[in-house]
Amino acid sequence: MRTLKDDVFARRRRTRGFAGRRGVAIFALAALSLGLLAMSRIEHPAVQSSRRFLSEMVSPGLHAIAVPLAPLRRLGRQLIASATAVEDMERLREENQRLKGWEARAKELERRLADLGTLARVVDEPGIDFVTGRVIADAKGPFARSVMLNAGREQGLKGGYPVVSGDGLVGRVLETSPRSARVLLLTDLNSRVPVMIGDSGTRAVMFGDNSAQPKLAHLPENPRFAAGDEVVTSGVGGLFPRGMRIGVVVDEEGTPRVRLHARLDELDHVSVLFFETPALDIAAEEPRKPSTATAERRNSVRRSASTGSEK
Amino acid sequence: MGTLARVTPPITVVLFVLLCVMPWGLGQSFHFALPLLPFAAIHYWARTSPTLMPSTFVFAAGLSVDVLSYGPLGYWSLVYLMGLGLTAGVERVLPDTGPMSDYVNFCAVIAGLALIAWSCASIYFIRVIDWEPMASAAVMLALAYPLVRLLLGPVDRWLAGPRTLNLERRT
Repeated sequence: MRTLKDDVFARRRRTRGFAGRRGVAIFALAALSLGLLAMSRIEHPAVQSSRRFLSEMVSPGLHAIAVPLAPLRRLGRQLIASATAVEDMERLREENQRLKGWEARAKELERRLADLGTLARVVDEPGIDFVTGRVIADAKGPFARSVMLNAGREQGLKGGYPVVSGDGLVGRVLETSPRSARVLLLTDLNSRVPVMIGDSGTRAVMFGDNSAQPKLAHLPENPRFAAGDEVVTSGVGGLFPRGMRIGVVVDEEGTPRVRLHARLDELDHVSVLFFETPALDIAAEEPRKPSTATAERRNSVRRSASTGSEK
Repeated sequence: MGTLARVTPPITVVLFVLLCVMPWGLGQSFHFALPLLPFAAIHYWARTSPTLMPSTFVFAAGLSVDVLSYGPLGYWSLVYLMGLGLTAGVERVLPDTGPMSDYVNFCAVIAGLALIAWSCASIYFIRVIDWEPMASAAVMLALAYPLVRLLLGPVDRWLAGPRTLNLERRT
């Protein structure tokens, strides 16, 4: 009987509750977790570096698992797609009608632009090189909206590079390790993108707030745009190239928001643009200043609270 | 076989951790539910074989989710540890008498855990965050728990066979 009591495999052992050594261990580890949480809140450099180190350690394993699980992921996506198939079909039919009109207009504008370019002897802008990587993990829970890529510094990636999918802008590279990179999505609480809206080219800043549709702020006094207008990057600040597709304006209870073209929940492969700009050096230095970053986050929380448009 | 029996429960939790960070493309409604999925496995093993689910391992599992999901370090480890404590606490009130009592225990624990997770996130952000995603995540996980039991049950029974034999031999 003594053997049964001491056997670690004794099944259905009645718990002795929260008390005892187990309770003490849980309490001590919970206190340690709280300490880590506090360190994360103040963005302690040790937390950042240990996270980077651990991410680098697990990224090969995640990549190895992502490949055989790809059919399952596809099945999941198909299930979701079939649930919204009728709605999507209707939306696409309308969009197709609109795009047919735009196609003819775009061809005409392209021809006219080429003529004007020749007349004005405009120098062609150099193309931006890119690398395409697979999404191997994505962030869930109430915090960051980010994904991990299986490409890193060894592939030439740097913090701040814009990331796009076939549908439009996705976000920017937040941090890199030799073989993986973390991409901050446009929907993240810390994402800020200067944008232009519609034909009028109204300038604004697109703020992520962890919801599916980032909101538009810092608008001029009499903004001239409407729901359905296209939103593109303005290039102000130099972090993103000008004119990258982002989404369309939607009106949500009086707050202008952006319905993104890129389906951030369904990212599989994304391209990182090697967009070299002096602004990247400033952006790369910012996360090293914990007080500034924390202050910025606090400000964003205050701004969000003041607009009263939080989730 | 003893070593295998010892490592199998932690391995299943590790698998759930990896599954919860994979990019499944399931939409935003699953964002809150998936990180709670490893807790379903933790709860199952904590109920059936508490000694095989040490609190240090639960802490490590939570920390792994924090690292992989790019959340603040310590958040999911705190939530999982609180869940482990709740499991033990609820078990005092609802002793384990079968699958139904286990399910009721899990529902009670996950409701409390959702509240803890929401409170911790709100304190972290210094504002009241939306409670609905967390509540729907708890409901989703309550619905998914029978499936987790279905997956882990055969593993548990397979491990129980040699354990029972061991015990018989010893007694």
